[in-house]
Amino acid sequence: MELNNSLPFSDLQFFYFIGAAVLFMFIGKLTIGKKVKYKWLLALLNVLYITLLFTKPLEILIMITALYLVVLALKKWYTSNNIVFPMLALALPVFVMKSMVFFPEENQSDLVYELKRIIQIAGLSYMVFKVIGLYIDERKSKEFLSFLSFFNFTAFVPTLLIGPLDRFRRFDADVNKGYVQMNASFFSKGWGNLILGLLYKFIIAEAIYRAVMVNLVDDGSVFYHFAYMYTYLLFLFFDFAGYSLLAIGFGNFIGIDVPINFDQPFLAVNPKEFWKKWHKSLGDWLGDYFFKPIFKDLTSRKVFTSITRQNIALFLTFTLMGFWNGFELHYIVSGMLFGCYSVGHNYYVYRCKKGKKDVFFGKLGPKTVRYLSIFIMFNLTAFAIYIFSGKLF
Amino acid sequence: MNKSKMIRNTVIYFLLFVGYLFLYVVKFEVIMDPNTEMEATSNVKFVYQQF
Repeated sequence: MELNNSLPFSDLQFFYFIGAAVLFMFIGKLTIGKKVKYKWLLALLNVLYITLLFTKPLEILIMITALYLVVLALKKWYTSNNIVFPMLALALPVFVMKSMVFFPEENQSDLVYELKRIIQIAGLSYMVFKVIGLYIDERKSKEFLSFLSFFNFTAFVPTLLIGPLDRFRRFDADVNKGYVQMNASFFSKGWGNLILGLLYKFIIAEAIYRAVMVNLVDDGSVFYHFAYMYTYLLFLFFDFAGYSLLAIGFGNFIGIDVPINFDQPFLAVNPKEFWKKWHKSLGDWLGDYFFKPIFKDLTSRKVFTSITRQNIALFLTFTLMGFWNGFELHYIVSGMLFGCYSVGHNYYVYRCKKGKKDVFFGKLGPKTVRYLSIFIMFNLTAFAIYIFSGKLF
Repeated sequence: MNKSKMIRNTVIYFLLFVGYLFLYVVKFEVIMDPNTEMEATSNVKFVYQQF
């Protein structure tokens, strides 16, 4: 068995680890539960995974420690209300990691190679997003942020790689409940999520890939591109939603109520609702830590009308999301496209309120409007995700 | 357990079983074309690996 080569939910070895981890936590609860607090046992579990199975154990431990020290330093010495500098400081490792795309492997120097080796840690973007959220929420708190709480939050195995993006307060409250949530009800909930996640990711997404995607012949026709667009959307949904369910299920097994990430996104009637249903934890995160601060900043400068400020903040938020996915053009354009959808919808709502009538659907009935909205949103999403896939450029 | 939940669970476990059988045990590609050479592991990539 090859150690230090197993990312969460990527191979059978990790599923053996889930079984061993659940046993470890329950045996710990029953034997030493009265003497050893839950948070210590959880930390031990996270350390065991990182040191035994994670691809870059030393690098990730150093990164977590460095991020913790930066958060402590910012909390202590940075007193300004402006959060741009701390956000940039904390996002620096991700910025460096994403910039590596500009250094192709064939022409890179030894320094770039070494930097790549150190900084390209799986799950780093998610970790940094979690830490930025933590800093913004806790920057004015007088409570001391312990390394143990920080470590458990950032290194929590089920959500280590690609979320769902949790919030520190919510997560820490779960941890502080101790072993209480390691019960039959949580176990049953976890089992349901795990089984559905397996079905989504390893059966449906796999079947879509093997039975449809690999058999699509790129003859350059419009039909091919349309077929690829819809197939890729379904594949991405089942793969990612399945992964999220597996992470939630594993979290439930060991007593953590990991937030949901997907909630029938193809029934969304507008972009705002879509981001409450598709990668929900990221949508909420972007709303709280990108959109609101940008809008607040524009408002404090008293520039533009309210609707223009909202639209600028929306567009910038989704453009930043595009950059976060990667510095490749298709990610950035896809983010900007989602930004355009949100701006368009926001302006439509504004015009409807102002004119006291539906300026797009006119006098169509509410049911018809709903079905048409779902249809339009589904196709707009499919197009933006198609751009995201990198198939077009 | 109510009826709708029971039906839902039955469908999920049935699809899991049938899917596992066709995708990982007998491999449907081989049934459709016996000359197909199968890889030992899944073809599904982490499409969100860049995250």
